[in-house]
Amino acid sequence: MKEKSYVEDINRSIYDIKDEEKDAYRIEEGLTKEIVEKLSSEKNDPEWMKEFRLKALETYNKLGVPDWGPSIEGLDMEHIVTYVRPNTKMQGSWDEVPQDIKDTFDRLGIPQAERKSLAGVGAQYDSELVYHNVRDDVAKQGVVYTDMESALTGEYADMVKEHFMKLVTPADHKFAALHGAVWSGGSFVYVPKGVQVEIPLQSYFRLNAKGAGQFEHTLIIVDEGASLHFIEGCSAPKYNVANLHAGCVELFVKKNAKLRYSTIENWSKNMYNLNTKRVIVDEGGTIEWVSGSFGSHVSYLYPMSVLKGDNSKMEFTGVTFAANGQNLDTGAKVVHIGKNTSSYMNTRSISKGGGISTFRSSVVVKKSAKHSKSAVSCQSLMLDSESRSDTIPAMDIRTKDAAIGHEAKIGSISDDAVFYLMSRGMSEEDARALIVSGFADNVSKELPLEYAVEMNNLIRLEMVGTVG
Amino acid sequence: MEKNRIINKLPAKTWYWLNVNEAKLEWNDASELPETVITSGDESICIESDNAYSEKTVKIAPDKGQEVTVYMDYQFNGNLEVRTELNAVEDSVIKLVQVQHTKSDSVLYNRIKGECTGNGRIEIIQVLLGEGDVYTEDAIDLVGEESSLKIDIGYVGQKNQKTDINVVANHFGKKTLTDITVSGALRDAAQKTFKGTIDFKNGSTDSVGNENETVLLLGDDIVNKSVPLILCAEENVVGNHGASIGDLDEDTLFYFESRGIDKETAENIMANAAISRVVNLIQDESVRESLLTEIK
Repeated sequence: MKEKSYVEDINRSIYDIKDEEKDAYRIEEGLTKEIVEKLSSEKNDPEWMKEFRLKALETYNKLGVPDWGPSIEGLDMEHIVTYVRPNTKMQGSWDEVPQDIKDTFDRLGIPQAERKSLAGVGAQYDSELVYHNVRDDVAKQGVVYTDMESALTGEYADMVKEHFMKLVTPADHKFAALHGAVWSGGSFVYVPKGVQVEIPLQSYFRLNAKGAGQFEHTLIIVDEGASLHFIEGCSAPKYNVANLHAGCVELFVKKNAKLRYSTIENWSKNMYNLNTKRVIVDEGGTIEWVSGSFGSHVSYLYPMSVLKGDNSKMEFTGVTFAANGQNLDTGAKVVHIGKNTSSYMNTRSISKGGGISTFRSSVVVKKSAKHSKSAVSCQSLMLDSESRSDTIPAMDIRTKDAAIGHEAKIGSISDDAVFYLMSRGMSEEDARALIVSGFADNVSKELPLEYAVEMNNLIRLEMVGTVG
Repeated sequence: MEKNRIINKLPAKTWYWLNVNEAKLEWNDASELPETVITSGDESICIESDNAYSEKTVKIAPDKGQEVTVYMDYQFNGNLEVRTELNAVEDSVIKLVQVQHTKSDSVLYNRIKGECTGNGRIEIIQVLLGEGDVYTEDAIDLVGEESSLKIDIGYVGQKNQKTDINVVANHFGKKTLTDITVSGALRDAAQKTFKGTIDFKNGSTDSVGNENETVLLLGDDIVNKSVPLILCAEENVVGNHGASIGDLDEDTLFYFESRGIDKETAENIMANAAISRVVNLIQDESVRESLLTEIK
C-alpha cells in the first residue's frame, strides 16, 4: 500500500498573538440604523457620507445572502462589532504608536520592511489606521498616500466623493452594501500624471478585536502615464468566534498608466473574508493582480477588471492554499469592453487536510471588444482525499472577433517526481514541500523578494509535518 | 397545463448574472409516444411527431457482454422531449448516435440518463443539425471499476437558434474514464451554452477525465457561453479541460487564401469541418455518408 505524507497545519505563532484591548472604543454588536448613525458620528463624516451609509444599509437589508458559494451560516451579524477604534490617533512615526500595537507590527515585520523596501506604509489596527507615512522623495513627486478619513475631508475630498463606491456600488452584492454602511479606515492613493513610483507602497491590515469586523476602503487613482506597485497584507489572531472582513478596493487606472496590486492574505481561520476588489482600466492601461490566499475560514475573493479602454490589459496571477477548516472560493473576473484588450489569468490551487479550494472565474467579452484576447490557465493540486478542489470557470463571448483560450488541470503530486528528489538525498517531506513551492512559483516570482520569501515560508510551514 | 421547467442545471452554481446556472423551458401537457426498449443488436429509431407537445422514452440495456448500437433520428414539428435511459452493465457497450433535425420553430429537450456498472462503456455521438432550439442533457454515472464514457457533440448554430448543452460525468468507480469533445460553429445571431462537468467523487481513485471544446465564431451577433467544470473530491485522479473559442485565425485564413479560397468559403469549410469531425465517428457507412452529404 502506498505510504502517505501527513502535512501539518500552518505554524501561525507570529500571527496568533492576541493583544489586550486597552481603552479601545467599541460600538455595540449588530447592525441597525442607530449603530450606523453612531458610527458615522464617531467618525465625523461629512453629511453626504452619512446619507450614503444609511442608503447602503437599506440596500443591505434588501439583498440576500449568496447561495452559490461556501456557506456563511456561521456568520451572525447580530454578534459582529462593526467599529473598534484603538486608543491612539494615526501617527507619522512608529515611536508614537502605543507600544503593544507597535510590538504587533514589529512581529509582523512591517517597520523593517518599510525601512528596507517600501516607499510608504499604512498600518491599520482594527477599524482605524494607527500609522501612515510616505517617503519624502515620493511625496515630492506629488504622490498622495494617506488614510481614507483624511482624504474624505482634506484637499482631495472632491476626488474621493467622485470615485467612492462608484465602481463597486452598494447594490453589487450584500457585503458590498454592508461595506458601504460601516466602512472605516483604508488608504487613498493618487499618483499624478507621468509619475513612476519606483518602489512599492504597502498597507497592512491587522484585526485584533475578538468578534469584530474590518471594513477598510482602498481607493487608488493612477493618472495618465503613471505607474505604481501597491502591496496589501492582512492578518489576525484566531478566536473561537467569527470575525469578518468585508473590505473594498476600487482602482482607477487611467490612460497608459500601470498598476500592480499585490496581496498576501493570511487572515486567521475564524475569519469570513468577503472582500470586493475592482479596477477600471482606460485606454492603453495595464492592471496586474498578484494574489496569495492562505488564511480565512471562508473566502469569497474575485478581483474584477473592467477593460474599458482600447488596448488595455489585465494579468491575474494567484495562488490559494486551503487547509483544514478552510473553504476558500477565489478567482478573478474580467470584462472586455475596449478593442484590442487582453487578459491572462494564471492560478494555482492547493487543497489539503480537508480544505476546500474553489477556483471561480468569468471572462466576458462584449460585442464592442473587437480583436480581444483572453487566456485562462488554472491548475489544482490535491494533497489528500479528505480535501476538495473545484474549478468553476465561465466564458461569455459576444463578438466573433476574439480569441479565447482556457485550460484547467487537476491532479496530485507525482510519485515519480517525489521519488526523483528522494533519490537525490531529499526526505519525502522536503521533496513534497519543494514540489508544492514550485507549483506556486507563478505567484512568488511576481512578488518583491522579501514577500516571495515570506510566501515560500508560509508554504513550507504548511507542508512541514510527519511522513508515514 | 402550461408550466415553466427549470432544466440543464449546473451541478455547482456560479454567479447568477452569467445566466448559466440553469435553463428555463416553457412546456405544456404532452402526448406520450410509444416507449422503445432495446437490449441487443443494432437498431434505428426515427422519432416523428406533429403534436404541439410530445414525449418519448427510449430504454437501452444490453445484457452482460453485449454491444448495442442505436441510431436515433429526430424529425418533428412542435415541442419534443426525448428521455433516453442507458444501462451499460459489465462487459457491455452502448453506442448511441443521435441526429437531431429540429425545424426552425421547434424545440427539442433531449435527456440522456445513464449508468455504467462493472466495466460497462457508453459512447454517445450527438449531431445537432436543425434550426430549432435544442436543450440537451447527458448525465452519466460511472459506477463500476474501469467503466468509461465517451461523448462527441457537433453542432452549427444559425439564425436565432438557441442551443443549451449540459453534460455531467459523475465518477464513482475506480479507474473510470471520461472523454468529452464538443465542437461547433455559431453563425448569425445563434446562441450556445455549453456546460460540461467532470465530477470526481470520493473513492474514484485513478480515474481520468478529459473535456475539450472548440467553437468557431462566425456571426456578428452570436453569443457563446462555455462553463467547463471539474469538481474533485479524490486525490489520485487526473482532470483536464481545454477550450478554444474564436474566429478563423490569420494563419488558417492565409492558408486558404494562398490556395485561392476566399474568407467566406474558408469559414464554410471550417464550420462544416466542426460537425463533420463528429459525423466521421459514426460507424455505419450509409448513415455517415448521408449526413456528410446533408452537411455539404
